[in-house]
Amino acid sequence: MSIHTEFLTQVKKDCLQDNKGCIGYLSIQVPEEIIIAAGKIPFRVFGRGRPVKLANAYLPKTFDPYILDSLEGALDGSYAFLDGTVIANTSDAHRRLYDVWRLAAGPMRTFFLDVPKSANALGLKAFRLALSFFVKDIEKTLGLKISEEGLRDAMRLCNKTRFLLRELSEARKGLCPPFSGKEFFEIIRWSQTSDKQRVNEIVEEYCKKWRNTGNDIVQPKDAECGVCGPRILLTGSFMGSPDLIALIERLGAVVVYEDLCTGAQYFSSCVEEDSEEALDALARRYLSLPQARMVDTEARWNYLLQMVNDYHVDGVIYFALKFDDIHLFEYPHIRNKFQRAGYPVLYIEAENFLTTSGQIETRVQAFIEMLE
Amino acid sequence: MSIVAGIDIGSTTTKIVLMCGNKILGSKISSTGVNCKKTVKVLLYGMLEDHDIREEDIHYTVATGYGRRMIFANEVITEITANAKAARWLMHENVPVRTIINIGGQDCKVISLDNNGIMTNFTMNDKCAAGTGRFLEVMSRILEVELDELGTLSDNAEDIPHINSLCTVFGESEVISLLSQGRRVEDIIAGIHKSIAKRVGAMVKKIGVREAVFFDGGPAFNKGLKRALEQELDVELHIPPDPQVTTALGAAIIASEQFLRRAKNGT
Repeated sequence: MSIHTEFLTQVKKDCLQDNKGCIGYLSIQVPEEIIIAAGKIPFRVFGRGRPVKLANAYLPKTFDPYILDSLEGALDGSYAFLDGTVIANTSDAHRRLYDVWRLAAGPMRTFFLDVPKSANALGLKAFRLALSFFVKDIEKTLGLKISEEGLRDAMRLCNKTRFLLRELSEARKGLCPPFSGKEFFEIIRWSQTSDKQRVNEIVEEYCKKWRNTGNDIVQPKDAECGVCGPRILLTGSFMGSPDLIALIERLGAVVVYEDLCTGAQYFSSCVEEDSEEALDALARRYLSLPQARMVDTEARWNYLLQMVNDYHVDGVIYFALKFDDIHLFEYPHIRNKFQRAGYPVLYIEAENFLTTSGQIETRVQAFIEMLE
Repeated sequence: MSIVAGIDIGSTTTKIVLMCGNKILGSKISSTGVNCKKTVKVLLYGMLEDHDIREEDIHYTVATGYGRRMIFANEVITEITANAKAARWLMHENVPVRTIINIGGQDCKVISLDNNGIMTNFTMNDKCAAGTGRFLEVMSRILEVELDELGTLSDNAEDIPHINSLCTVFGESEVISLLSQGRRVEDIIAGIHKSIAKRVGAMVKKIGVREAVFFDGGPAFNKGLKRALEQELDVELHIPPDPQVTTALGAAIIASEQFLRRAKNGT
């Protein structure tokens, strides 16, 4: 078994580990460090990727499907193993979800975190305050004290995860990426739902072996998954399943970068470990994530432009969830920018799971044919 | 004989074009039905008989359309690429095509070509049959007129009503209420054409109109719809002699090119 296959098998096996002592969270603006410093495992809620039934009794069908799907999980007991859930005020849909989750989640504690839309001085101050409220809330609920040292240990742990994931991602800058986009998505999903200590050990072991072999191990597997086709940057809404990535790759392209909150945004930057005050450093890091909801659209565009250059991208696929207003509003702006920069853009609007895949397949295949 | 085939398995009809080199040998259309494999077989065997050729004389086949993966073919391409190829091939000597509007049985596509006739952008409606051939089919059934009469009847429109519902189901209810108000069938048909033109027009404007504009797909036979689209977009539309088989023709052209390329490379 090659080191690469061994690593992916290990990841798959680790995904099956029991999740005990977890606190769920829905947005990547929730600092995992605070949850870890409270002795819990941060668990990203991905939704179940299926049509909802129960959630429609609480929220209208014209809601962000990820929100509805997550709520369905809270209602049908899929997230009963969680010791609590953090819902950040990252959109109106998340805000409403907080109200309903408290009703739906039974005895499970629901935490709320306000997140400003700007990383200016006022925004940072407000977010720093929101984080301190969140810390107090979690301390009171769990009956413990989060120490500055505990936060700093957690910062180091999470930074290590980010560093390792970035190392894996950067291997995709080469002409024949070592991972298919689907494989990489699975790795990120695992890293967001598992114990960071274990994640770091497994990824570090793989990276060590890989470095020792002079990177020879990451040879293309083009016969297997066609990883040498047109290179795609995928951007847009929350994506809970790799189905669209698998479809793109089955049709002959390769997703080399996922500018998604379930992709590279998760590890795009680190927390300053030498900052005088841990919460200040957390506020700065989490408020500077290159997300569509932030007011500073130029910062996001510059980041995207950097990524299409670094990862030698041929075309961009913009994925928007139905009723996800933030991304539906962002799309025309980003499309125009990409097109002016000479990058073809394909727009796909879908649910939290792939439906009408025949039509989506035609569009993706035509886009790939256009790039070839 | 180096004969090649382009097969377009659409949601409503299946089309086959046979080519020999640069020459079109013939084309045939049939309703797709529930078993597209059988439809293709019957259609193809009919063509082989008509042209007195054997199955093994067909050296390369390219399939396209929604059922493209359902049959055996040497290559599978999308109807968007095939359509762009055919429009360029058909029109390049007469008019330089820059925009293609294709209205099919269950979707509608707008394709943008650059100055060299290469596809640079496209848009496609999805999820619903609004503004497609299916919409016209449903409306003709309610109005009790034949599909191919719609264009001629709309010539006699006098007072065109606004049909605001783009959804086929809601559009149906709207047409029924217009009938109950005593509106003339000819006027309603013209209103239907106008509503489709508005929807398609919005798609065209999204990627930008550049002349010459090529219009194909089954509904391109409908001169009333053509007129409504021309008014909406304020451009002249160019319709090929047989607009329903353009996509199959594009597939056949690609098959021909691939066959020649492979013969040259000895593969």
